[in-house]
Amino acid sequence: MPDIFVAPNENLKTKTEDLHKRVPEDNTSLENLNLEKEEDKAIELEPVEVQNEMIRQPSKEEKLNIHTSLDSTNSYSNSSVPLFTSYWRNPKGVYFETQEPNEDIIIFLRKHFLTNFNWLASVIILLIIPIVVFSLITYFRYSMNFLPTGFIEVFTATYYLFIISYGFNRFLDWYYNIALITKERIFDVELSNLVSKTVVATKLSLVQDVKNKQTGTMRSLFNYGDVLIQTAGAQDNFLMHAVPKPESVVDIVENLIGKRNREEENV
Amino acid sequence: MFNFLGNLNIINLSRSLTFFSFLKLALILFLIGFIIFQIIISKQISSMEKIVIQPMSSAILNLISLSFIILAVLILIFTFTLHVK
Repeated sequence: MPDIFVAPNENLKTKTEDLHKRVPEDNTSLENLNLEKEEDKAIELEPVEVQNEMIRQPSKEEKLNIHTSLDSTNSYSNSSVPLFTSYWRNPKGVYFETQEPNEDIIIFLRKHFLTNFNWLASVIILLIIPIVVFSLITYFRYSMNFLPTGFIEVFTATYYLFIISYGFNRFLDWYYNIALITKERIFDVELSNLVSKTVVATKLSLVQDVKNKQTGTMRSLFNYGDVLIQTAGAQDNFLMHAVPKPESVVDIVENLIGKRNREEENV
Repeated sequence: MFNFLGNLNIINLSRSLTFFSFLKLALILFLIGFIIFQIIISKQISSMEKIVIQPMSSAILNLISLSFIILAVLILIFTFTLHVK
């Protein structure tokens, strides 16, 4: 429950307790008497305000904020983004170039970590191959005298350097392909082959429809899928590939669009 | 025609290019290309930090990329010292 609904009661309690404790030592002084009266007036007025606040129901907007804050605190006590995460609510330590001061990030999204399985497996296999080959050569006592001196060392070092850097580059490819949903906008960064990068952002007011697509056994099993955000006019549509909890992402975006529509209707 | 090419040392060069010397040349070219590519990636990492700041600092990623470049340079120097027939 937010502080606004709890604090007045506590304030009232403490103030009334203070009042009972406090007994003026010298009641004969007129100044003290006047001050006492003013304080009494103030204390008498406060309960009315408190009652009004207690009666007042939280608005839909407040409910949404309460919902998001509760959700985030319950599920993730520490909201700083871990290294290999691909879905994080209310992240800390993440900022983007054009972020405005009051523009809080609601979700941080990346491709599910399982999408890295293919390249991770191939890198591991390629790292093992030379070990297997050299152990076979030593086992069968195959002579490598025909090779120039130092050739094997140089080739092996180059091979390992290439494989490890390939793995690193694929990791960067995954690490820098992110999508951020803020209270105002949707922000998408795509880094393809580490050479070309695309940064797209659109306002939530321009979002028309949100869909999710979850096909395949792996996607159903590990709960990840594509989220398509359709925007109005000539704006590009957003396709977030293989993001975790796509239904939750759709819900949040729909809530944000709904909230914005309600605000526009109220204006 | 052949005399002309011979004067340009193209034929002599192709005759002197054995299998291992060809491999050495290919390795040198590959390593030079690799170094250039890693430098581009290092620049990309720096530029990505300007777009989105994430908890894992780009300095660490840049350091890894730089270590690849240093390793590639060392291997390149070692490759030049190889004696091939």
